Amino acid sequence: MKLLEQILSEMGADTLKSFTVIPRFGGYFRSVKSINEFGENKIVLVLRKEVVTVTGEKLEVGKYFEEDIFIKGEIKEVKIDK
Amino acid sequence: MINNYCVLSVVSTAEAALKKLKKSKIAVYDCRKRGAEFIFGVKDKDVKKVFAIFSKPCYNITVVEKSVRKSLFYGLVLRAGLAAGAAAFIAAAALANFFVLKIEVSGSGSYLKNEVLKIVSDEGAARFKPYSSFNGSVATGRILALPSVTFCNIEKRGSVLVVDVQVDEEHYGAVSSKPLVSDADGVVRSIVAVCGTAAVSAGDTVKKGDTLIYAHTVSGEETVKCLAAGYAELECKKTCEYFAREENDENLKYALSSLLLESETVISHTYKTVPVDGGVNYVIDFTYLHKVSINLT
Repeated sequence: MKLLEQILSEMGADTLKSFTVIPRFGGYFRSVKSINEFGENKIVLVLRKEVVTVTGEKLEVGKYFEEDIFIKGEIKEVKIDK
Repeated sequence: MINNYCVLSVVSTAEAALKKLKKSKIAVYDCRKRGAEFIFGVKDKDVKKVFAIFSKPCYNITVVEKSVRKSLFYGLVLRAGLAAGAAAFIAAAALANFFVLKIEVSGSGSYLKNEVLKIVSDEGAARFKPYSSFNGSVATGRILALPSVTFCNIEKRGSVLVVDVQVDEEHYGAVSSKPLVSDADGVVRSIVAVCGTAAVSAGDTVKKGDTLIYAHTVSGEETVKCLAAGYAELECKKTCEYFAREENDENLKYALSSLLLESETVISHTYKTVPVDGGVNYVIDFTYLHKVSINLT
């Protein structure tokens, strides 16, 4: 985790806004302000300045607490819109 | 599915429900849609809060599945008697394991049961007494000192103390169950009773046929039959005569050497000479140690 934070820091990214996707398992997203759309094939996450659209199959919210969300299922695409 | 949280169902859009739950800082788990229902899990401590959030009649909120912890709790409350009985049984079983409830003597030396039970009792093992008070190594040593015993193993199986005693096959059945009796008149110098009860003590005068070690032990007011095992040393007196052609030092030596008895020790002697036809008679009064034993190998 330290290595990831170091890489993100050197790239000028904000680690609080980072996300991790594991194929055929799910993804972990941070700094989520709200959920705009929730469906089995599409979940739309609203961040402070961006909107993250997660598409895939059999998507479920594994855990959602404060600004962290864990999405279970097969994520096929993550799209970031400003 | 086994959950560590309570699964709830609310008739609402997922987005609106999640927004309300996030605002109240409630962690939600395993969210999914089922028709018009939004199903999600929350920790037991948050259930009341969630019901308060969706308290308006437009939200139809229900509990789909209680958490395992809560289910167990309610299950135990409903079956309090059964739970108490099971707990009492487990406690009794665990407690019983610390105690000796039965003592068994096995093996070819089981005919020594009374002696073995007496020894283990002396060393702290008895029914309904804790096993920790038992001195196993001393008991094993004492059992091995019993006549003909070649092997002894004491182990606790559950709440049963099993004493395995094996005897020498050559001596198996050759053990006398009689008491030790004196075969001569004399004074007791020492007495050692490995098993049984000493009938005399050092300094006592005994006659031939007197009992030296009884084949029983006394436990409280009860007399328990057992083997007699041990020995006694008796100081006995005897007079011997030895004929010689003439009185001289060499013949005196022969006269004294004639006193040598098998495995017995002469303690003291006095002698006098009596003239007879063709020579003299040495009349020797002497005392010796005589050992009698029973069931000692």
